[in-house]
Amino acid sequence: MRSLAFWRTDTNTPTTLYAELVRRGLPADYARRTADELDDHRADLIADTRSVDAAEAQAIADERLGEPRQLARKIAGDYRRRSWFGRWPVVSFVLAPVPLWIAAAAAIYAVLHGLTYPAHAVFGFALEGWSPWNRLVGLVACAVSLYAVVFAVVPSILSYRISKLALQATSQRSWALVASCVLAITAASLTYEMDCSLEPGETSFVISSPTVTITRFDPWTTLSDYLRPIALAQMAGPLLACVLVLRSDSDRRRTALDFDGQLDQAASRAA
Amino acid sequence: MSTRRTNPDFLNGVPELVVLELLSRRAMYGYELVQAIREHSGGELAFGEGAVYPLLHKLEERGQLASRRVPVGGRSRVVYRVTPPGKKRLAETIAEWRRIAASVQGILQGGEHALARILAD
Repeated sequence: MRSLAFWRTDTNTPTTLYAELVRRGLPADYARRTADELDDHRADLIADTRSVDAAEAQAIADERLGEPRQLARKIAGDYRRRSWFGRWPVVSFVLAPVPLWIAAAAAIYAVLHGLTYPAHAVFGFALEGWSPWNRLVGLVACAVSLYAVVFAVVPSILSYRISKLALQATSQRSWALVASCVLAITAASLTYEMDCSLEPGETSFVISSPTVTITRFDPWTTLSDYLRPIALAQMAGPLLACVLVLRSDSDRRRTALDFDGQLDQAASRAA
Repeated sequence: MSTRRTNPDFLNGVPELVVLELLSRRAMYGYELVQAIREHSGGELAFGEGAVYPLLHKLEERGQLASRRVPVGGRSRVVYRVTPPGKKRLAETIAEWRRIAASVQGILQGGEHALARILAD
């Protein structure tokens, strides 16, 4: 039967290498494979120390391999440095989201702006026969849709993708949260002006290009800007997307640790 | 990886070179590889017991190594071997190492004669 002895340290520190690797965010299959190989390594260390009794051989092997938490920390660090994003998390998840979001917003806005002219030509003409109230509702619906796509959907999708990338590359939830906060603050920093006209014979709406709100360094002014309802709504999307990703990651880790517990119970019953 | 319990910056890249070279001679599992590094380097180079596995996994992910679990001495072990891309990478790394070593040696010994003698080797 496969030895699970290495997977648990003494009773004073009830943890396993597998559990520590999963807690550090490593994929469950990689954590299990690594723990299996180190279990084999430990068995070889014990077998090679032939001149001492079994307990002392195990102690020597444990000392040479190191305590599971320290070993897991080193293995997790090496795992993170595999990818470029893992080696440069500040550039990837603090600096890069800002220009990425601005470029995405500009591209989406340009596409939508290009669509509004033919739409206006069609619907504007059609709206001429509408009542003022219906024209107002139609304009507001168009404006809200454009606003939702550019300022809510796009940063939320970006936040979701970047959070998943951060977890995959660094296996640290903090970087996912940092990237989402950066995106949320950047999204809330973009404002726009909408103007609509319901004059008889004229129906139009104009949404100005998004502008970055750069507030002078005044904590109260800055705080009040970001506490506006529209700003809060713009920040909510990216943060909620990140919460979804982190929750999914927590479920994954919990499932992997529960499976480890089931293995231990099976081993105890067999023993 | 450690030599006399230190890991100077100029040893960056050495673990990869050493692992690929030893595995190109014959397939080995992790414990065997750690022992081989210690033995062939005369004890000068020594991996931390658990440190070799992240490197092996990284090289395998790059396609430079392949692994499979095989029976060894009544138990099973994950044995690693070098793949063709790994052999290519090994050749490149060896060439780079020799170039750098010759350059450093030339500086240490001084003169063009020492450099030419080493390069001829």
